Amino acid sequence: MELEQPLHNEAMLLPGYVSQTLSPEEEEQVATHLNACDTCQQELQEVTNMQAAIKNSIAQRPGPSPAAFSTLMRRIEREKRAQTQRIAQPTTTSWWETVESAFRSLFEVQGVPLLASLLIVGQAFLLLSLIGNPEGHQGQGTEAIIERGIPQGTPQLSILKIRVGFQADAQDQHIREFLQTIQGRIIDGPSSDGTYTLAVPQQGTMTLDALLTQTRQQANLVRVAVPLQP
Amino acid sequence: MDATHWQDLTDLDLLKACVPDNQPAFAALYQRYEKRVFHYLMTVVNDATLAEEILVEVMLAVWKGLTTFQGQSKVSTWIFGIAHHKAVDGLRKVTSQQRGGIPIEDIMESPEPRDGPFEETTKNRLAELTNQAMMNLSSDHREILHMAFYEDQSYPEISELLGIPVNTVKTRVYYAKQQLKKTLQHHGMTKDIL
Repeated sequence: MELEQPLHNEAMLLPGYVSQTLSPEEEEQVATHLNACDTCQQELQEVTNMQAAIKNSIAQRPGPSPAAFSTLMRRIEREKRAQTQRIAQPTTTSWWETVESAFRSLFEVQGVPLLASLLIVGQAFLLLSLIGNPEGHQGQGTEAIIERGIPQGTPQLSILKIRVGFQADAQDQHIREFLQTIQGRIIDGPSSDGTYTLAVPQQGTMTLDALLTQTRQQANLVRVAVPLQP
Repeated sequence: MDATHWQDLTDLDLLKACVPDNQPAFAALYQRYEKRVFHYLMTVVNDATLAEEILVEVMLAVWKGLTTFQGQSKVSTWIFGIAHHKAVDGLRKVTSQQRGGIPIEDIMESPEPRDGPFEETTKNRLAELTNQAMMNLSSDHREILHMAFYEDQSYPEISELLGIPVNTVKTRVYYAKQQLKKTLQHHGMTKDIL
């Protein structure tokens, strides 16, 4: 079914004109138009009759049953109880849940930059503590220079180094036993003259001379023992 | 406060009286709107059981929104706005077959009631015919005719509660009225009603 287009814009305002809900300007516009337009006057009559018919039709419908109100009040009571329970529900969390929650938040997208920054700062502190701060030792005079990577306060062991030439008939087994006795080890050699460099940690009051004397006493093993020239 | 007092209050004052949790005031607000909202819902969903279910949902939403209502619109516009959204949700749940009105021919051919004064039965019959003609329109047209012709809502108010431009309201009201006229003409009822 094709519906007729309104001939005049005022025709679309007629329902509002009948129910008196137009603005004063629109109402005046419609009233002026109606004085000069028979078509819209006829349309106005139709709208008036139709509105009365619709009002009469809808007004005769029955209302909702009383049960609707009872249902509503039950629903409201249920809502109130739910609200009370929500308020009464304990919301305290244990310290571990708090810590875990904070830790988990670091791994969320927004926490990643913070976590990365903390890791960088932590690494920096660790490196600084390992390297030590050279400026912090200024003025301490005779203290041994602490090697990088060795924490401060660690006792420093001196290494005694000598050059040793073994007898041609000395057996490996005997040489090994001697090295164990002095807790030394061969760190270089043999050189062009057949000597080896021995490194022995300085223990107690042992001196380089004492080490040389102890070594030379092994005459069946050692043919020559001299201090290592720097 | 007695029931008479609630009747004297404006919609806005009655709404304010409902807070906090004033059950008699809310009951008065319900009584003021139950029939209007139920009739509107009947127009849109055309099913009394569903309309009653939605009425409860609407008034529950009103109860929940009592403290948040800002008063920027009329109370009736606010309540019918809620009803509109709930009705749209309700319509989605039922099939088009359930929504369809009774064929108007069934009403035309049904025997006229013989009891009561003749004028009254004629009036009732015309009202029933108008009602059934309305139910043969689309839900959009039924709804806007209800708002404009029964509730006497202004175009801006209808625009606000349906969420459509005012000009769309004007054209939709015009074409809904034209459609209803065509339906009535088709069944030869224009002489009785128009």
